[in-house]
Amino acid sequence: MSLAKPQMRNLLQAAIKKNLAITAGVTTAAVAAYYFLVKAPRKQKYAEFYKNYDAEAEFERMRKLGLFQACSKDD
Amino acid sequence: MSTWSQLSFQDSASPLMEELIMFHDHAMLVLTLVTTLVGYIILTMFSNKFIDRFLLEGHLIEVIWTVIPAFLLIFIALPSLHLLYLLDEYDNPSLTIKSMGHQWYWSYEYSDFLDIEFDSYMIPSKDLEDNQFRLIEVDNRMIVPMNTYVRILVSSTDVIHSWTVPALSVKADAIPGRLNQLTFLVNRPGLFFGQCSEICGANHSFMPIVVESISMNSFLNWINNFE
Repeated sequence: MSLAKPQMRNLLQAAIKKNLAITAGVTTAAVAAYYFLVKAPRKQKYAEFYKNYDAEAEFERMRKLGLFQACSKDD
Repeated sequence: MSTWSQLSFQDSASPLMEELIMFHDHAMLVLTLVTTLVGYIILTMFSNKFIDRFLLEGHLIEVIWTVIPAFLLIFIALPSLHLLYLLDEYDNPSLTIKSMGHQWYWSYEYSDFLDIEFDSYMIPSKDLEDNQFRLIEVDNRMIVPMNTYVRILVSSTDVIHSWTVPALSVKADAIPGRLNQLTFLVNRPGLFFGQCSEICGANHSFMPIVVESISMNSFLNWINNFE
């Protein structure tokens, strides 16, 4: 019974190739997570907010609540 | 305004602030990539048992870890420069307001049409109404019309102050004997808050800025009826 010959050379190269593959996967996952969980939803939220945004209607709503100094809440 | 424990930017009230927020997300993507990469490499170092007593140089690895960061930096720099020049674009503002810093209040001058001047002091905490915010409310707000390019000329009568409204992505030092120009456009109505951003004495933290963005008609009525 003899053991299989262990790898004797190019240990660093082999380790680098393995780690490079793992790194590529992990960093891609991290960047994709940030993109799909933070960046893209934020852009979408801004787009949706302004898509049908009526600034004048919002102004009237806020004015009637009495939020502004420059205009009274009464018509 | 910011609420407690808020770490992120305030919601934007100007197209440029929106672009800045998106650019920040872009830069954070690159930072996430670099942090994950370096963090993983550090972790593998802990479990690595390789030894090389004769390690001297490694030209290939040196080239790799110079070129890749250069590409990453270019990836950040291109949208950054685009935004930088966009922020400096000048689009003939319809309204000019002078904002003068004093110890310890701001004063605003609307001298385009009628000579309108007023001071803007912080409302002391003991005088707050129930719906007002501590340390950031003022007695006379700076009124601007929405969806209109506004120019603010910032200066000071005594020491250096700094006028800023984070939601509008504007900040400029108020330096005595100097005029600094800011331009912005507020794309929604509401109240937007800022605080003096240059140490100016005992009440530096107690001279806030409030911008009130209203419809053009209401703004013109306010101008005409100002006493």
